[in-house]
Amino acid sequence: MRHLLCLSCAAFALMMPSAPARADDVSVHERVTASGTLRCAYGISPPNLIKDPNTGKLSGLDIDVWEEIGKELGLKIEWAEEAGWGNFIEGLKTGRYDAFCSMLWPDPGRSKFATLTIPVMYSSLQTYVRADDHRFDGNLEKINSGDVVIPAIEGDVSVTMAQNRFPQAKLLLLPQTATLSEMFISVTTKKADVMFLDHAMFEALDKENKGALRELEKVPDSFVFASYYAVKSGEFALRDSLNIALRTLIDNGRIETLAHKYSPNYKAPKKNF
Amino acid sequence: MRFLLAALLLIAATPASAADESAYERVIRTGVLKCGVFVWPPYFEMDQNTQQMQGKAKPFYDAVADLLDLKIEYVELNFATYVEDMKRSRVDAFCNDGPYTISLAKQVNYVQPWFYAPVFAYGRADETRIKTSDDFNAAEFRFVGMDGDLSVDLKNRLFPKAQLVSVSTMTDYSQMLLDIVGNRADAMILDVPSFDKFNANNPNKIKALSSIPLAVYPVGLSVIKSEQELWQTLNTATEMAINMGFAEKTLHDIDPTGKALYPVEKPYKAIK
Repeated sequence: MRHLLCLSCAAFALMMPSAPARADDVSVHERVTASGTLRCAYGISPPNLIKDPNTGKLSGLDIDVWEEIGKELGLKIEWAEEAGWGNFIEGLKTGRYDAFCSMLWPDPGRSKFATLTIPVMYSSLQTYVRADDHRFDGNLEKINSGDVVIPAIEGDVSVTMAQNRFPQAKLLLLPQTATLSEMFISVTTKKADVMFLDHAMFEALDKENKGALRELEKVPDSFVFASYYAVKSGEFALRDSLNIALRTLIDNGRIETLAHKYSPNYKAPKKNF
Repeated sequence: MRFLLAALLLIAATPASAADESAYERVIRTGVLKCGVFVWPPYFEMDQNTQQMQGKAKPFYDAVADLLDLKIEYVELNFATYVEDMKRSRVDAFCNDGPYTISLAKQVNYVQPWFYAPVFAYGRADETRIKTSDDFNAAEFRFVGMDGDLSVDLKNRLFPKAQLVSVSTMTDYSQMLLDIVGNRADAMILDVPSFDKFNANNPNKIKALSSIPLAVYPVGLSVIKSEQELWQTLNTATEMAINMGFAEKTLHDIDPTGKALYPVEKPYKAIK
């Protein structure tokens, strides 16, 4: 294990610039290397990242993974500021932080305007319907119909998901400020018919609305998404360093062990061997 | 002198020319991904009535562009010039590149593949000389191939003693198979769906000469080496298109048997 650690540190050290550059020319990778600190922005999304309301202490899978990345690369991880999935790219561009350290799904904007690491984790989404609605039992394809309504948040990956997977279905577009709870309520109040969630998200929502929705049975996962971390567009040296660390965590099984602490429903990247 | 000064000022005030713009910047600015393709049925073929690019591989690339909120335009290119065409900005990327050609790996970056194509040697239906793959590597055996295609690459590496009957890069692959039927060559290296397409129109003239693939090639998009941002963007979208089931659906349309082409293995597993 120590050899693996040393290899990752050495790989990072090899990428260090040999001479200092002017401040305005300094890449994020150079800045991180020089300071020994990587400043993270994050979004709150249990169980990946949780903030204790009393103490402000952060915990969750993202925190654990980044602590391991820090060890691999010999970096201190500083949780600099909370940012949203909708605006983190701007903070990366202006250098307020060095990476977005919460897992994200790639939507068109993120794919085009941020540089993403290799996948950190995969999540599968299941289909949820009202408890008394049996129209789609055993056949996911019945959702792809003009009389079915799917809630989606404007500008969010939920729009792309629904449009591509079920192009015949109608979308109930909710404003960008809408949350998962509002999507959930749109189904319980019959404004929409189906929604797609992972188990952990559903369990959290179900606590407040016990039994209102149920998981569609005898159908495959509706979606499987890779989750990534992001750095500023074009920061390939920083991305490559993070990828080396992530690949080490995946190949030696540490990422799977960490994920298991939080949920048995995650899907981990496969080892390379 | 005043003219010279004015000219210099004009040059200084002119924004960076289109030639300075990377393919990534151009795609983002225009919202259009211009993707080069080879006309190679059943993957891509030109509809003679509408002059629109069609083909069974097209829905996958349409999905990749759609996931990025981009419009995609297909431009027909040929083996001889497609890398230069990318360098000269005639297209931004290449769709359905390959099977990946290793001799071009120094010039292009391949995006992660969305399927793998096993390739076989095909020869005349009455060919009896081939008992093992070593029999291909004989001075009297003639492979037909076009420069820039994997068949030439692979023939030279696996069977250096065999002859190469080289054809123009504008040649349709079915013409190469007809060259074998007409005894102007003995074999060509090809993937199964391409052979099946030919065989449907020319039954019992050509057969597979080997039951084991000579090689298995990844297939997907490519960009020129310097286009790191575009490569990353297309890589992410390809990964997402695979995870959303577009690769599986498109592959099923190309190869309903599920045996001629190999899907990529799922990159994830349930945690234990």
